[in-house]
Order: sequence, then C-alpha cells, then structure tokens
Amino acid sequence: MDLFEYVTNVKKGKLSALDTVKAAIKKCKELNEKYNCFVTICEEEAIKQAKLADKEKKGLLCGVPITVKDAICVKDVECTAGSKILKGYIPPFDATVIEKLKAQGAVIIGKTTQDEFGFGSFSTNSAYGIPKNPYDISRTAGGSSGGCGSITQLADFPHIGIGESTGGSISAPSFFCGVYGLTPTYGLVSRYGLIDYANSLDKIGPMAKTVDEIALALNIISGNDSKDQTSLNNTKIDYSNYESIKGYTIGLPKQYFENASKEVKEKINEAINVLKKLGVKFIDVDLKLTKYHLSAYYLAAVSEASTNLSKLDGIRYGAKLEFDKDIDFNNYYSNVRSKYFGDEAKRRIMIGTFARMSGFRSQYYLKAMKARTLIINDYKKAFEKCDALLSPTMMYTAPRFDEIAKLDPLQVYQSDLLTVGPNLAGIPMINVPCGFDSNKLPIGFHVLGNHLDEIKILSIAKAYEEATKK
Amino acid sequence: MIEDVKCIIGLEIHAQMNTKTKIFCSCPNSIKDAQPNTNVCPICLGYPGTKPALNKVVFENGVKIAKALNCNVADNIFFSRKSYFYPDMTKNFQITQYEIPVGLNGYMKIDYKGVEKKINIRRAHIEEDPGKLVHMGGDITNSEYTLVDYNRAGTPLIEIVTDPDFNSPNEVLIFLTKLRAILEHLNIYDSEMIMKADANISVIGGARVEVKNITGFHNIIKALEYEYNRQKIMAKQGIFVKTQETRAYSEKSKTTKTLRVKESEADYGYIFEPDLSWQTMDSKRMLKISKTMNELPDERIKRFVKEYTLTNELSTVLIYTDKALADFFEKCCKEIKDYVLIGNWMATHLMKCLNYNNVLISKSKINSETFIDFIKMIKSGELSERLGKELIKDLVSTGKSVKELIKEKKIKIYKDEDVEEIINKIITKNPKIITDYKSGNNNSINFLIGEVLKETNYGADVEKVRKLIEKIIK
Repeated sequence: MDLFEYVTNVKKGKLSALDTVKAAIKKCKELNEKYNCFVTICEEEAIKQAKLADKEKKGLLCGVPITVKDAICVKDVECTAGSKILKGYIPPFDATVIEKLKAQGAVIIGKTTQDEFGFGSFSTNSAYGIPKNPYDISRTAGGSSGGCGSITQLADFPHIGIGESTGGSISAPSFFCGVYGLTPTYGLVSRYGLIDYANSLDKIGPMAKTVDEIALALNIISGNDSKDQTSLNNTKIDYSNYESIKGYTIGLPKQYFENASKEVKEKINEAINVLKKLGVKFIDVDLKLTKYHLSAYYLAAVSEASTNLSKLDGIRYGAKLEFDKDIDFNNYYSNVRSKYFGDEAKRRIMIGTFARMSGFRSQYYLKAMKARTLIINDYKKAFEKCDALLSPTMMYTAPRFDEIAKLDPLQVYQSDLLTVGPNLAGIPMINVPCGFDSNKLPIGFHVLGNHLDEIKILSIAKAYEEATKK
Repeated sequence: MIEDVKCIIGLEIHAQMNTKTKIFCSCPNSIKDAQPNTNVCPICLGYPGTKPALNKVVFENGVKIAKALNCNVADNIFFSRKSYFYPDMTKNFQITQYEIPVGLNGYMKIDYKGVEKKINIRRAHIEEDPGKLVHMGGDITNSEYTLVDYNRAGTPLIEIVTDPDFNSPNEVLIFLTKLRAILEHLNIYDSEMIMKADANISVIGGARVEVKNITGFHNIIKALEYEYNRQKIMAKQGIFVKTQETRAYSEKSKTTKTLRVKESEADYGYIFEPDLSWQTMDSKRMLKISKTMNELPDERIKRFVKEYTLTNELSTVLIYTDKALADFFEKCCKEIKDYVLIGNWMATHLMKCLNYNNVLISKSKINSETFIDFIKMIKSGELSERLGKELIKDLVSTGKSVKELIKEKKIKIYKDEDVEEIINKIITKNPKIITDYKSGNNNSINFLIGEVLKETNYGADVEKVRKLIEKIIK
C-alpha cells in the first residue's frame, strides 16, 4: 500500500498502526530467516510506538514501520554497528534522526545488518550474518547498509529504511537491491547518535521504493542540530517541491563510464535517452582527479576510523573479558580487541594508525586531506557548467558471494570507485533504479548534485520515475 | 659554591577552568564531593554515537588567556585528536589542539629581584581533562589495583607551554603566582580549580629530567626545589644526569623518583578533530571577547598605587596572593577612605590570620562590613593595635561582629575621659613626673605612657595616650 495513503488512514483511525506493525514484524522475522536483514528486531519497543501512533494519530510518518542501519543508536535497543565488540551496548539515548522520526509517529521495528562499522562494500564483513540480495540470495545486497537495502526492496508494508554512507554505503546497496537511496550533503542530517566510521565523511540518508518517500524522509531528518557541530544551519526547504528539469544540463564524467560493465552502460544510456526526451541537455565532463579518489578516500577514512575505534577497549560498555590481576591494561585492551574485532576492522586500524604516524603523517594523512580539497574543487568546477552529474552507481550488478570471496582487499576497495569521490566531496547523490541486467539483477544510475542541491537531484529522479512508470 | 650550578627549567602547565559546564557536554563542571562516576553522561563517557559540542565559554576563555599572555591568536582555530591508550581516557584519544592552538608565541614579564625578565610562552591550548585513576593500596608504581573515576573527564583545561627560560625555582614561583593572578582576574580559575605541571629541569652539563604530573601550585615549587637540589648536589660531585629521564614527585616524601629512563618520543598520531567545526576569529569576535576581558593584575597594581596611594609592594601582595583579597580591599575602600590603613592591616595581620587558619578570604568567616567597623575603631583609637591584633583572629575564625566580640570577651574600651582619669590618677601618685618633664626629661613622658598602658592592660591606644598626656601636662 502507498505509504502516504497508509499514514492518512492511520490518522483517520481507518487503519491500525498496531496491526500493520505486528504484521510487518512477522514478515520481517520470516524474511530474516532467508535474507538476514536484521541484527535486531525490536518488537517490544515497536509495539509501544505503534500503540502511541494509534493513540496520537499525528505525524508525517504516523505508524510507518522504519528500519535503521545498526550503526544508528535507538534508545534502549542494542546497537552493535555490526561488530561483536559492541555486543551488549544499549545506548541510553536516541540518535537525532531517530528522535525526529519518532516525533513524526514513525515506528522503529529493527536494526539492519551491515559490514562491521561500515567497513565493506558487500556486507560480507558483518559479524551478525550476511544480508542477501532480494533477487538472488547467492548474491550480495551490497554494503555497507546491506540489510537496509535488502529489506527496503523486500518490504511489502509501508516502509522507509535509514542507511548511512561514508564512501558509498547507501548508493551501493540501493543499486544492488534496486531501490532509491539518497546520500545527503555532508552536514545536512545530524550525525548525533551515529556510531562513527569516519566522522568527516559519515552521512545518514533514506532508502525507499519511491522518490516521494525519500523526499519525505529527508524533510523529516534534515536540519541543524546543536548536538552535532558539523551540522549545517541552512534554511529548511521542502524537498518534495520538485523543479521542472526541462532545460537542466547534466554532466557525464567520462572517467565514470570507463570501467562499467557493458550491460550497466547500456541501461544508463537508455536512462539518459529518457531524460533527454524530458528536455535535459547532456555534456561531457572531465573529472581529472578521479584517479586519486580511492587513495584519498581510504586514507582519510581509515585515519579517522582507527581513532574512532580506540574507545572500544572492553572497559565501559560492549564486549568484555574477565579482569585478571596479572594482566595490565595494555594487554587487557589487546586481548579484547584481538578477540572481538573482525579482520577488516583490524586491517583498517592498522592502515589508519600507520597513515597518521609521525614520519608518515604528512605523506599519507595530510596529503589525503589536501587531495580532498582539490577533489572538492574539481567537482565544484564541474557544477559551474551543469546542474548535476550522472553516472552508473556501481560498475557491475550484484556479484555472487563466491566471486566476492576471491577478491583481495584492494579489489574490494576498487569496487567503490564511483561512489567514493562524491562522498569525499560531501556532495549529495541518489541511486535511481533503471532496469535489470540479463540475470534480472537491478541496475541504477547515480545523480550527483552540488552541495545542498538535493532538490535538483530529487527532481531528476522524480522526473525519471514518472516518465518510466508502467 | 653549590649555588653556582645554573639550572634551566621549562614548564607545561595545565589549569582547570571554572566554567559552569564541562568542555563538550552539559554535565556540571563541579565535581567536589560527587560519588565516583556520577557526574558523567554518555558524551563525556565517550559512548559510541555521541558527539562533542564545544562549550563556547571555554573557547573564549582560551582566547582571553592567549591575549593576556601576549600570544598571537590565529584567524582559524581548530581542534585535534591526540591518540593514546590509557584507562583514564574515555575515548582513548584526547581532544586537544595541535597545529593551530588558541595562542602562539607569547610572553610574560616577571619581576625577579627587582629585574624584569621575559618568559616566552610557546603556546596556549585548550583541551579536555581525562578521568582520575585511583591507585588502591599504593601509588602508580606499587598499587594492588587501580580504579577509574570519570567525574573529571571533560573538565576544560588550558595548557600553557613555556620556553626553558627559568633559571631557578624561585622564578617559577613568581611566574606561577602571576599566572594564577591573571587566570583569577579573567574569572577563569579559582581556588577550587587544580593546577598541574610537567616540568623539564636540568643543570648545565646534565641531561633533561622531566618531572611529570605534579599536582598543585605548592607541590610544583617543592618538586622543582627538590629536583634542583638533587641535580646540584650531584653536579658538585661531578655526577650528571646522563640520559633523559622521567620522574614522579611524591607529595608524601617530598622527593622525586624515576618513572622511566629515555624512551622514544610517544607518537600520538594526531588528526584534525572531525566532530568539531573550525572557530573563526575575525576582528568582530575578537573585539567582543576583548570587551569582556577584566582588568589584568599588572593594570590593577598600577591603579592601586595611583588610586589608593598604596606602595607597589603592598598592591602586589594584595593582588597576587588571592584576587579575592584585592576585591575585599576595594570593597572596604568604598566605605572608608583610609586606604593605606586598610591595606596595611590586611597585608600584615589579616593575611597572617588567614594563613594561620589555612583559609582563603573567600572561605573565611570575616566579611568586609565587619572589617570596615574594625578599621574604623582602630582609626579612632578606640581599639589599640594590641587589642586589634587580638580581635582580628576572632573576626576571622568566628565571623562575629566587632561589637559582639568586645561584649563577649568583656573587653574594656577606653574612651578619652577614661584615659584622662587614669592619667590624672598616675600623675597624682607620681608628681615628680611633671617636674621632670618640665625640666626637659622626655623619658618621663614615656614612663607615664607605660604606666597608663599597664593600668589599661594595654587596652588603650599608645598614640591616643600620648596625645592626652601632652594635653594634660601642657
């Protein structure tokens, strides 16, 4: 059922949020057996919130079941960010986005599976089981917000997923699962309550089956927050107030098409033709610094990540080991961290610590930060000539787990080639589903906007959605 | 001569700021008497998901300190993460400042033995205090186990790093006294706050010794004096510290002992703190902050000399000892105009009583109203100096008014007519005094004064007695 219609009916008392939520939870439990979308299904809290929605009958998301990436804190619900080291961590507070969603009557029904701390492109680094692709369970749902992508596609009830992207973790699963996924401008949505991967890159954003749902969610979760000093203080606008895209100029970064598979390219070209018919002009754009995106991104991300993970030492919260009088604190920390961190987390701690060590810091960490500024300028220059950029979101459709297992870490990092650049620049982006390959796996195109140009990329997505409606 | 061994000292001073709330959260910044780990919240405990939000007052305090220490204040100031694992750290990194601190390249002028000396300030930066380790059954080197109390985590600190410009612990004492006065005058620091230091000290020919984590103003001086003497005595015997060494000061034994000998410089893997935005210091903001800066100690000393005709020394004592003392002085001066009398009584007798009771004026029971009454009675001669000295002890320890105390202690107040009566009585008994006096023997008058004072049990004021005698004899 249409989400907007559902909300109207709940508010009128024609539909019961409680019944819907109970049915949704039942469905999620069933789906979870096969697809492993959830770390936690928070039935008890969800039922409380559903009853409240039925009683109060207010809010833009009155009674709507919402799933949230596990890295986002929900009060009194275990929050692990996909890691064993946070097993048992129950935040005593709501993330700001959760507060805002709850204030609109939303019902948080579960925490979705992800790569440990967001470290991955296929959710295969999850400590709580790997989420499966809704179209083929032998394939990835993408990462790191994989559980969120999978359930967003699978949900047969009104639903919005809340994901998080550091280097492409909303776009990738949206592409692989065939849903819309918006990564907002850095700072547009408060990060308070998000377990950090790389603070200067992390962005919370919605995943949904329609553009209207994305715009609605963004309307709710965006806005300044005094608890996150990197949150922006710009004027609130209505993101569902789409513009006409007739006369838009969209740039096609040539570097972004080079490595895409034939089938992906074909579908993107079809989409470009649809948009052309809607009056969009396309130009070629040269993003010269694309070859530096991956190294700059990974250095910046792992440097920050390696400091963020330091606090996980088994003393204050999360997983613990027996205290032993013969073991000093250094060894205790080592034992806890050796036991509970996954391999990818350990790898990123090591690389990140190395990149900021004195003697190497200026060659790696500081250089990456400088490169980042140049990359931002590279995009800024492109946006002088066009309203948005368009490219494939991923280079290929969802790979099989056995294929992924054969990739070395560097090859996994390279799969993020098209998403790390815009994430590094902090510009908004959206995955727009645009068909399937010969294996019936979803393909999507990526629309990138200038900082705070969410309305433009949403307008493009909406126009395409309308034009291709069956 | 041992004294000839020259020493070089450089300091890193950490002073807590007395803001209402902690540096990154809204927990109160007063942790006295709180049970361990009760004055905490998810933010200062570094719970996953929380973010720091910079307390603006802390930042502005930092700017004020930088200005007061003649530092350059950069246009854009940011924070950094200093990573190291230690159980008193809730995040295993400390939010501090690295590349661009709030203040750079400043100085403080100190007056040492009448000579002005410039101490260069390398930097002043803002950071968070970690929690506190409680070593059970011993100290850090030998305790059975250690507990952690995070109440203090997130207390704002200012760290001030000097060049190695000091040549004696005495210079350090003068510097710290003035620094404390500056911080107090900026309303950033008070007696409840803690000052700590890491001090590098060496004698010519020897390697550097770092005495780490000395807590408290007086311990800093004591530790330096001890360490200077130790190195000096060694040097006299031709023994020098060979490799750089870190030592700890024990408050109990008042000695320092080796913690560790030369190790590679710790690598803190600094990164920019990505959760805090840059602080832009444009001229407008600077002006706004400057406007709220109070009068600094040096300016205040000058004003005391000019406005109250105090000596430079007396002004310095009042202002440097404790800002509250100088405030108390000015409060009294609003009521009575005998500034020097007030100042002298404060600097000598009042301060002596406070020291004796080991209490600060702000914590003592005496208030300015009582003290004003007291000074009035001293001035009129109703109270002799001897009685005054006696009474002021009780004023400080009981907080009672002068009148109450006089009544309670059954002190006889000698009015003019009372004294005159006694003088006449003594003259009648000793008529020779008058003739001696008239024949030019001035000693006779001193004898008379002595007799009168004895008779009043030293309750009458000497000057008053002398005047009255002269009046009667003539």
